[in-house]
Amino acid sequence: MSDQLQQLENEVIARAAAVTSLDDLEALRTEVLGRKGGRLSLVMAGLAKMPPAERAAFGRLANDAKSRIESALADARSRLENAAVEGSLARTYDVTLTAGPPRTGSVHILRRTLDDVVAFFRSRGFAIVTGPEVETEYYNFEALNIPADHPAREGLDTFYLDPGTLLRAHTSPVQMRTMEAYPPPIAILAPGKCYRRDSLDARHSFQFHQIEGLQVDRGITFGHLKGFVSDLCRHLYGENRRTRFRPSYFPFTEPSAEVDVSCGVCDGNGCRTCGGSGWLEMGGSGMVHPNVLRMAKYDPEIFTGWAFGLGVERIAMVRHGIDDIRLFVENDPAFLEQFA
Amino acid sequence: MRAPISWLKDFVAADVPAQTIAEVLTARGLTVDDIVPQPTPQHIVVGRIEKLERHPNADRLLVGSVDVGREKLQIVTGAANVAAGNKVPIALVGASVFEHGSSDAAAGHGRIKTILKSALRGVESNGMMCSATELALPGEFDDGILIMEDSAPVGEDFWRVARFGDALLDVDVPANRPDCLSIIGLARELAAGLKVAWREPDYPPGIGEAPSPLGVEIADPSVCRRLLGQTFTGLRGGRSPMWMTLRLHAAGVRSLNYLVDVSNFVQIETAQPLHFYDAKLVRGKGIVARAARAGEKVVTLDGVERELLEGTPVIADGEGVVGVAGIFGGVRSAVTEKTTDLFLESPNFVGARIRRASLALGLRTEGAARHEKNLPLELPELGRRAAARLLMQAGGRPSAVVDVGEKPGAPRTISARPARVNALLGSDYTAQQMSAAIAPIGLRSSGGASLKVEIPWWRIDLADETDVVEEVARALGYDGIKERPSVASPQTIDESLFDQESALAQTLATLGYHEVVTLALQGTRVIADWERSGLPFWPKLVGITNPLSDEQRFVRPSLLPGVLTIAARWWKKTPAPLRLFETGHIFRPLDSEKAKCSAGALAPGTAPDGAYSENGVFEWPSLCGVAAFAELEADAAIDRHLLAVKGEVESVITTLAGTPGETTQHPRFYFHPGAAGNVTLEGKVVAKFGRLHPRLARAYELPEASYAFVLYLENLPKTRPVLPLKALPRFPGTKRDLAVVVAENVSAADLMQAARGAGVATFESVSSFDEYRGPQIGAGKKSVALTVSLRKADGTITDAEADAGLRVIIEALREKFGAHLRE
Repeated sequence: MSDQLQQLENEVIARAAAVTSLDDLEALRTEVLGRKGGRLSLVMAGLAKMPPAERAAFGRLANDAKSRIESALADARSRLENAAVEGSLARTYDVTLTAGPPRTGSVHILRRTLDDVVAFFRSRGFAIVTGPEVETEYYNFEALNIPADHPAREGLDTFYLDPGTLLRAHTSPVQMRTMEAYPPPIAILAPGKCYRRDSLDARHSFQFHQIEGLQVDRGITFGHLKGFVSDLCRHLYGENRRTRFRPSYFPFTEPSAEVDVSCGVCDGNGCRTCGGSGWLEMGGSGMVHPNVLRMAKYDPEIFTGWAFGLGVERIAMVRHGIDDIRLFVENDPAFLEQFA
Repeated sequence: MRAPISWLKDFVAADVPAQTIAEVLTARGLTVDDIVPQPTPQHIVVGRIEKLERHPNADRLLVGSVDVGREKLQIVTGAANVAAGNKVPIALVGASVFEHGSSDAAAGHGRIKTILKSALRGVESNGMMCSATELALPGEFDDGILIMEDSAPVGEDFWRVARFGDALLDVDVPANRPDCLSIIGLARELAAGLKVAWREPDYPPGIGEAPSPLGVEIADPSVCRRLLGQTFTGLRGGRSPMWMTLRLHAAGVRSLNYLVDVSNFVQIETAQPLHFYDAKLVRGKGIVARAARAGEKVVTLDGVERELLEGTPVIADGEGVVGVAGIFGGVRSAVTEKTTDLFLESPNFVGARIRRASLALGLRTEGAARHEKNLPLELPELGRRAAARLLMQAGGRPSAVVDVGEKPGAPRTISARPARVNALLGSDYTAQQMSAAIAPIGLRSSGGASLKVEIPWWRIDLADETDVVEEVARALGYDGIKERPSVASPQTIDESLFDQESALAQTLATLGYHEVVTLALQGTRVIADWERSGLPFWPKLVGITNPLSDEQRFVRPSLLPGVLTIAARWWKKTPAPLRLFETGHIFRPLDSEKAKCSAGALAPGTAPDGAYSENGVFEWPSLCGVAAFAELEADAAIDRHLLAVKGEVESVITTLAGTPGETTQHPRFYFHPGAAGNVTLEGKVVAKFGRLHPRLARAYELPEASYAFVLYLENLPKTRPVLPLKALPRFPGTKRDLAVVVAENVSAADLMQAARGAGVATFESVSSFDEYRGPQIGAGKKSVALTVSLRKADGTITDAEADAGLRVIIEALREKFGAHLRE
């Protein structure tokens, strides 16, 4: 019996040391240690026939043999697993091969641009508000201090749906809608589509996206307008860009200013991009006209404010060196993918 | 406004480079868009031809002896239009001029030739007599050598004599500054900016003793506020002198004849539009300003007969309308080169009336552009004097002046508080600084705590204190105002509409959708593309009344056509699958089905949900996605791509609602009738989705496996609700698959709903994963495969408990739908 046991142990230890695959090892384990018909259990079955005095000694012997077999099998397993790991480690994969196709989609460059503007305004505590694109003459013109027959309507050449109803020519109507809904102080950014009667070519579009910032509060000055807009331009175009405020005329602001940012191509020295002037036009701005505040039932003696309007397309064009406004609505994959 | 610097220099000593002038004007709000250099070849002097003889060796050449002041030059010329005694421009040896006939010499692009000492057929030539094109002068001059006036001083620099040269400025004059639609106005601003003296125009009165044979009358004061008239007799008309031709050319106006040129010249110099009549062609006692009566017509100077809308401001004589007031003269009484007696009209019209008429007639003339801005009442007299001086130079004998209508009042004053100025600008200027700053542009002021500012007559744009604030800021320079940081005060403005759209766009991008932006203003092409499918376009559209082109006829009723157009383009260029989306407002008339369905839910004037029904239009925010796959993965029962797209729609809805919503079968005209559904949330439709109608897919050259969805943003939550935590499972559950056979019209949703409602305590969830139809099942039947998840809260579920639960569910399905387990 004990010879038999010893023989089995020797055989298994030898075979375990020689085994070359995990499958063979598992087969060996089943052959020897299987619950039903395993060779060890067959040897152990002899235990019943033994005289009781010898049973205990043989039992100990058998258990010791079993644990040596198990440990030999375990050693073999770790030898094989290590070998497998070593084997896999020896392989080299060319990580410079082309990656799989991207799984995510993308937002449009105009949204990406707008999000950047929004992030700036929100960092200053401004709220983002929207409004309808079909507007009344009142909100598009009268409420902005542009009465009927005012020559300034010329520059806001507008699409009409019927007399008195139009497609908004700027997002400024959202100013008045918000001021009507909320008492001062307010600080808002109104982004959205606007429409002006124009042809569609590289520089003009009859549809564009505007952002308009408005802050009305106690003690707001032209200095605050300059500070805010200059900070915005640095945020959008880079720390080294300078901002210039040129006197201008808008019926809804006074004093009014056209905002230019120094050309990034020539750093303000004049080049083809900026038409030699060193400056790129950004948008219109100014101190909210007292008439506009009065129409919103804000007291212009207590509250003053600034407003600033700018095209999202314009920002994207200046930031990315895009020279054709039509690219934004053509949606060519070769274009959009660059900004995805 | 095109302003030649040489003309500005008549009124301001601006001896600085053009670039500086441009910067000064720009900093004062008169933006110089462009500086156009005038090509002025140098070393050109006035020469007098003393002798002109035949060339000994050439029939067509002449040899001249030309006095150029310091010497006499022998010059050979081929010109036929010169004679001894003429004064002509001489290009000295070394000068570079443009080649004769060089097509765009006036634009400065012509080919250049340099004058050399040379011998022509054996005769020495020391210079060249120049034609207009050789000097890059405009086409109004005759061909051949330019013959100058006899008064031109011999030997003098040609450009000095011509009072021409320097650059032109293209100035963007803001709408509130009609005073700067003139050389005088621009010169005033330039003088203030350069801090140099400004020369007031000193036109003599130019008034004669004899009464004017023709009179003026204002019949309708709502059209015309002031009307000046004056007659000039004995005029020599003819061509303008060279300096006038050149000035007008530089200002962008073509010289016609002296009289016409004078009226254009005065308008550019003073901003006052004038109209000249041939006095002999005016019928009756003179001219009257009134509104047109119904049916009246006039033939304007361009030879076009125009029918006038009732109320159009007109000038009429005894016989009828002779011109559209302030906008365009009539041909009947126009001055010509033969005119000897002229009647001058210097008017002030009501701006709004001129503007309306000009827009209605489509005549945006220089005169209209000035009148519509409400010119000051003082200006007609200034314009008249400027014209009188020039007409008298052409021999005109002035009559007395006739003058009717309003007269200029006393100068206006505006009170401006220096404290308010500083409060708006964020500056700390003293009252004295403010006063001193605005004085150079003619604003005299006095006082301390409140400045009394006297407004010069030409500044009609200055009406209140805020206008003075701007003048101070402009005068002291915007650059001088210190930047301050600006941060909002606390506020509670609802931003949810914007946030909703942003959240959805981000989710869709994560799901593989690419965002596009298309034109919301659409037209014939969009409809034609859609109708190629044979499907009808949306019948009720929100139309534009004044489109510029056929592609601007209406605002889009849906995002789908726009996205499909882009999808068609991408499908050819990018690998499948294709996923695109767009967000934006869409528009339907209030009498459309959509608007009727939603009208009850909307209170006009407010848009908490982002939909607007004001202004006769229903407008609401929408989101449309399109997905296209190379192969249709659909059998009789299952469309795998449709379910994938539905899953994406549910993901998007979950982003905002925290739940995917309920799906029901629901056909749409643009979807495959058997593959379209709605997603509802608390009884409201929040999305529709489906496989594109195969005809629509084909019309856009998209594959059959093309799908679309539209979200109703106005019915979706604006921000995701804060959901309470559901207890996490503590014990393992089990899943059981079963296939049940039911009638074809029973939907998977029905079965799942019944399973949920079967009252099984261990029920956790149910999903459906397959459907089969075929001969083994029988006609009119289908087999639906369901997975039921079961779990206990207080211990591991046993097989027996799971089986028991499943039996209850199967029984419920049998009871409700006659379902039996598939064999």
